[in-house]
Amino acid sequence: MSITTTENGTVQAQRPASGRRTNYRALRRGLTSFIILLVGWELIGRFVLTNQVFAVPFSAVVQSAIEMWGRGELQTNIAASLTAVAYGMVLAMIIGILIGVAMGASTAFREYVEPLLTAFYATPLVAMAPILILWFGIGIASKIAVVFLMAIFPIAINTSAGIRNTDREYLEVAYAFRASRLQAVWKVMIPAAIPFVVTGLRLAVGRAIVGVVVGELFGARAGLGFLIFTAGQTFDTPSLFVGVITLAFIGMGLTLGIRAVEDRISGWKGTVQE
Amino acid sequence: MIALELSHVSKSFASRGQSLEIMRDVSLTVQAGEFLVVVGPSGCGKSTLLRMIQGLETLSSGSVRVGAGEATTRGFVFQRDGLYPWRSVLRNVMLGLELAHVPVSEAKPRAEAMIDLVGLRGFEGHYPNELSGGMRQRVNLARALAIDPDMLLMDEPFAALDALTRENMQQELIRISAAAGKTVILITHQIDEAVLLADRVAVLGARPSHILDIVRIDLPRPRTLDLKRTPEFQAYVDGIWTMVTQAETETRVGG
Repeated sequence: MSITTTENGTVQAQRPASGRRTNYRALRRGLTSFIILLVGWELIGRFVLTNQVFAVPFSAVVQSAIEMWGRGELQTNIAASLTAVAYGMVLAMIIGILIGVAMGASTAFREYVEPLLTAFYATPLVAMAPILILWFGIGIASKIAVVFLMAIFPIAINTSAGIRNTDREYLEVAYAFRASRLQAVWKVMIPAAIPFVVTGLRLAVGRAIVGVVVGELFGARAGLGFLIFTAGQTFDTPSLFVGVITLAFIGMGLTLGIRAVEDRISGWKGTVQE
Repeated sequence: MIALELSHVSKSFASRGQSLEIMRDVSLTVQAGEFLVVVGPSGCGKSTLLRMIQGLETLSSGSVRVGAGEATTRGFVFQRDGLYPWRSVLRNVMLGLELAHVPVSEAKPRAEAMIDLVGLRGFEGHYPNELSGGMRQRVNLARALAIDPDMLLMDEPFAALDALTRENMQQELIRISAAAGKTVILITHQIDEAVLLADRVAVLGARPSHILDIVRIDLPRPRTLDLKRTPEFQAYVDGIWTMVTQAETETRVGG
């Protein structure tokens, strides 16, 4: 993780003059790749892999999606998954930010907690899903638990990094105006850490989606993971792809949304990268 | 009335296991309402002196007595503005009042008046990254003035500005300090800036810094930039310049 700042401690929005045009060009190129992929898929599905269990053309997936939407099946499962993601993310945000702020503000606390967090962050926690289902039962509670476990670590670690990266100069200004230690945390460190927190959220959202799907694969009665699992069991390949593609869209949408927030913030505070 | 009294102030840092003496036996008295400028070569500990007055730095020996002690408010103007990029101009200027728990209903009009005073009316809602270097320094100054300090401490406030903006800001500071009637202690390495602004100039010698001389500037007020072209002004600049360069040569020969 690095943060780039100029010598006066702040960064102007560093966008090239032709930024907008570059964005459109990048968008056009990205869309081209998608179209090539989809056309290739359609052709292979129609003419090469004609066994409907192993592969289906893209058009069959679209048709299946329309049918599932008509039956209300797709919406229900999207709602079930998103609900679990939302609850898990909100919990992870509250507790993750609290832990991160405490770690950033107190060296002792950080030295106790950071090794644990780093270890858990590096562990593929989806492997915990079966035991979480044993603990919390089949249903939304276990899914929330998996999402929470997946999401909390990047949030806590990034928040802590953000607090500790607070420009010394900003703190100096606060102390020159007779700020208390608590005021320095609240009025300087936390606002200065926000770009890091948002980056943590973006990393967490991706992991949260993986978490909810894995939770639903192992045991659930609804959700996109459940949909995929059922489709796989019944050799309903088009429905399986509907589930996967819907997840891709949700993941992309959430990530892009948070990235947009990051871009807006980067106007007032450097560029934060993981 | 005495606003500030430094007596026999010395400062040493521990550096690589050795004690590095950066200031030796500095004594200085500043009257209330006086504009004192401290000049000296780069790295002579001018900024450290100011930070000790503010209480951001400890002394190794000696004492700093500020008018009414802790009750004396000090507004600090930083060399690098240190504005908070997540706060608008108005909220940056309100910072000191907010930290002192002044209610918003009282703090906001005061901050607005200071923004007006530094000539930034209409920019209250702007963010620091939308401002030029000169404008940022004005906000920096307004932030210090907003707490209505008894004393204004300015650490090379114009050093990062280009020559034109700097002259413009010097002129503004003359106007603002006359209007606000504060005791001002300003640090600079620019001798002409010192002579233009000061009632008295304290000339510091190189490390360990010590006071070479304190020069009273008897030039009429209100002062304008035109003053810089007069022979009297030049005489002051030359005198201080000679003092500083001689001290530097001595250090080099001695060291």
